[in-house]
Amino acid sequence: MGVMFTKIAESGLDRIGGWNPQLMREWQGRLRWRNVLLTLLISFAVQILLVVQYLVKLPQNDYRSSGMQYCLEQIQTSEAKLMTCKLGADGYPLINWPFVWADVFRDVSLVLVWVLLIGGMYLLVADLSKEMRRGTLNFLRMSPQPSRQILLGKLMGVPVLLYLGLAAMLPLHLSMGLMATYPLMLLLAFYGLLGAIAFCFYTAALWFGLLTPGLQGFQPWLIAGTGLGLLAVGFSGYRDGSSLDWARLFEPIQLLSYWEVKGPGIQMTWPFHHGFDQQGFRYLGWFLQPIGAHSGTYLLFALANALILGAWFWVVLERRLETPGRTPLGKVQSYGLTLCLSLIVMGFNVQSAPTEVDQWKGQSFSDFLWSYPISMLICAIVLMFLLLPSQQAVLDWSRYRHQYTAASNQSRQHRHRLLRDLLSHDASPGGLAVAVNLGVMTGVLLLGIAVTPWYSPTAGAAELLLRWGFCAAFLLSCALVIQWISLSNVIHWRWLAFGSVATLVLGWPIVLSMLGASLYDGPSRYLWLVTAFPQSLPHAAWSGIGLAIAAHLTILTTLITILTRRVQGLGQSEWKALTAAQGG
Amino acid sequence: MVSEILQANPMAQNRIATDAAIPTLSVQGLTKRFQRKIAVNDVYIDLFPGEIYGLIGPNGAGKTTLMEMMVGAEMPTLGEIWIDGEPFRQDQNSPMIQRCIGFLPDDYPLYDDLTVWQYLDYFARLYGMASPQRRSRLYEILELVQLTSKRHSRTTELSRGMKQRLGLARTIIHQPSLLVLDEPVSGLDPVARMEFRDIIKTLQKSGMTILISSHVLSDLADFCTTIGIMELGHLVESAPLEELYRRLSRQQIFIATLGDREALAQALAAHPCIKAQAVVSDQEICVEFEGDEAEAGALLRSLIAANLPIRHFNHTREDLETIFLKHLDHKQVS
Repeated sequence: MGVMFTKIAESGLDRIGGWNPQLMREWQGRLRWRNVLLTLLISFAVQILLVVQYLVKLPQNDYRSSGMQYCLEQIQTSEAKLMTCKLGADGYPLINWPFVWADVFRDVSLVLVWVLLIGGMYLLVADLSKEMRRGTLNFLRMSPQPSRQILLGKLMGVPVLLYLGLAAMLPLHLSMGLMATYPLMLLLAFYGLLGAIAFCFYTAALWFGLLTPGLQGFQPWLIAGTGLGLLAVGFSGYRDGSSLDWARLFEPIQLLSYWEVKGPGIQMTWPFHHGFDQQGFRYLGWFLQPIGAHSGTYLLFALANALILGAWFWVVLERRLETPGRTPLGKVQSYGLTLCLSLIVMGFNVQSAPTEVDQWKGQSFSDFLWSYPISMLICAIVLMFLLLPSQQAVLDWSRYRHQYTAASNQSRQHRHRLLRDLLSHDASPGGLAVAVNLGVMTGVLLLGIAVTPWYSPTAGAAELLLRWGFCAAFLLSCALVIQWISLSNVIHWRWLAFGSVATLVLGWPIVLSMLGASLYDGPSRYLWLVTAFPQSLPHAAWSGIGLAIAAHLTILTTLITILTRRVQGLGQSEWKALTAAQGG
Repeated sequence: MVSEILQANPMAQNRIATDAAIPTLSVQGLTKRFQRKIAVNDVYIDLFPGEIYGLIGPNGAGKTTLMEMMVGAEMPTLGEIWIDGEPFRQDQNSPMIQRCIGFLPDDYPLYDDLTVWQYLDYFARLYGMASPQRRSRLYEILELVQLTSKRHSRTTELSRGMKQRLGLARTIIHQPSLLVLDEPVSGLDPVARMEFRDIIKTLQKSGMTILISSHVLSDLADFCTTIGIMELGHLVESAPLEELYRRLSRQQIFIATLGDREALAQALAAHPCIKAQAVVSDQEICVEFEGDEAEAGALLRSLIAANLPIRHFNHTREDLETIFLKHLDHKQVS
């Protein structure tokens, strides 16, 4: 029997290997009898624990107070005046079983979601980190297999024991759900959403793993910790109408919260999250649309969100695996990704129409959309590091430019080609691409202002736009500074660039605060307009604002001039060095 | 085996059918810069089918970088690579070309959780080998690297020499037309090195083109047809082995006679390959010789034909290691 089973398994693996060798390799290495048995054993032990912990809590006819919430009907005893469960004809308490199963179902759901998402991310990144350390990832890169097949094999193969253990839980989960009167369609939708979110998390984790080989053994812990944090935020019922509400979409458990279990013959309902405040997500909106009001809209939106983000991560992941020497994100890709992220984030800033009270209280657009500029600031800083090419790439590009310029004298064609290169060539300096991305963010901000119903929007909108404009100009200067640092001879230029940006974005305002620069009066308030947080804008005079704009323009012009000369000089010297070396 | 290689590589088949003179590997002006350092500078190499090219040079000379560029693991700053007459762009997915290349890095990493068979089977599948051929190919390769008896063992259970042979088996499983081996014998004992040499010779006979770097120069001298010397990123010397010996190796022939030493000296003086003579003893002369093995043989035959009673004829030449060290010394002095 065992031999026959082994033969069937081998034949199955052989077929899988014909379709995806990577998947076969991962399964072959992991699906050993001992591992499989151990996984199933752990899975069943966890299931037994989850069920037994509720069964022992059930009320008995001994006046214990535990588990009274599961009584079909509570009565007061005449002797001790204690509440107890009404007993049935057989002498045992009458239990409201759907409520019991609903609680078991909730706990199994939590185990499914958290173990699948966090455990899966950990395993994938740990495996990738090991492959990179060992040098075997290069074998895969050099093989004629498309990277799509390799990634698919990794996603389906590396966490296979985890999948197996969780799959063994599905019968219990499904049966508990059905016995708790959850509709089958809702359960199937939950599995679908869980799969889509897992795809999104896993692709993001792998991408992060490929981007940060230097972190080595710390990588899996960091990514698992980040995922845990995101799920924790999503699991909390708190909703503040800001970009942070986006995290709610990554918690598939929320979908089950729409269903309230009804006990047999009674009106009482049993919310999924009883004992917690989990109702916040029901007021979730996106561009004034109440997506959280109904399970169907929530499901569709969460599904679309996970799949769109997952698809983005997949595209950049494939790119990274195929060509590790290029920037993590292509310039053209970045424009699409920024548009996508800005729209999602802006949507969560305009969840519902501001109330009249909000407006009478003197709130402005800046207060209403406060989290959009902050989210975009973070997004822009991350983008800088993903978009700006390394010194070697810029050197190669500048040498090529120098060679091209020297060979041709059609200046108009040059400018056109230079512009095209700066907008789309991965090795060209990334300043213009960062500027385009900031432009996209500004466009989405305009859209947000346009769709928000506000009684007298003009002043508030102008202030918000100006505030974002100062912030964007400051960020662009930061990007140019980073690019300039990347062209220096510092080996670990990314760390230096990271430190510089942190100093410019956070350190500079802290210094201003410590020096007592006021936001409200005095000439020092204009210094705040040359930071990433131009909070003094409402208190600034027009002349001061004009001065700040001039300061930004001067800084940008100076940085662009320095950078252009540096790149041109590098191209020239690089070309001379190469031709001299080859000549010699 | 050659027919199998051609079967696996239709592109190579076309190549050989149309033009036998097209090199398996052609490297044109390959240059690699890391920041300000030039790792490889303007290297040109042409490798023809069946050739074994030995790449030697001190540590940091740029051998590994050059090899990594050839196999697509590293992007060149400048230059072109052609495999079997087709341009090879590292930033583009070119499965046809990738099937023509086999690369064994110096640390030949393995997967510890697989058996020898599973490991090779996995790579055969990665390279798209279909089922019936794959199985027979696996047995054939295991036989070649003498690991048939170990096919069910985990890779962790193998000795270093076996692991290295398994790495080589992985590299040639898909029958590449070009094999690139980076320091394949480092850390191996003499027996393992000898076994490895035999495998390389077998592969050469099958028509595979091999580029190999090693610090064990005696091994390279044993099987390489061409030698390239790299230094500070430059390919400072690249020539067939015999030509290298002729040009750079100091050759001496010790000739002892039973007869008159003066007669022997006169006979030798007329020979064009002899540059100088020195008397060793009453009956023995040492000559500086410039020529190859065939010319040395011709010299011996001419002396016998001249009725000189030759007692001893010993042709010695500086080995590859001495040539390399002399080359380095010369470069450092210059």
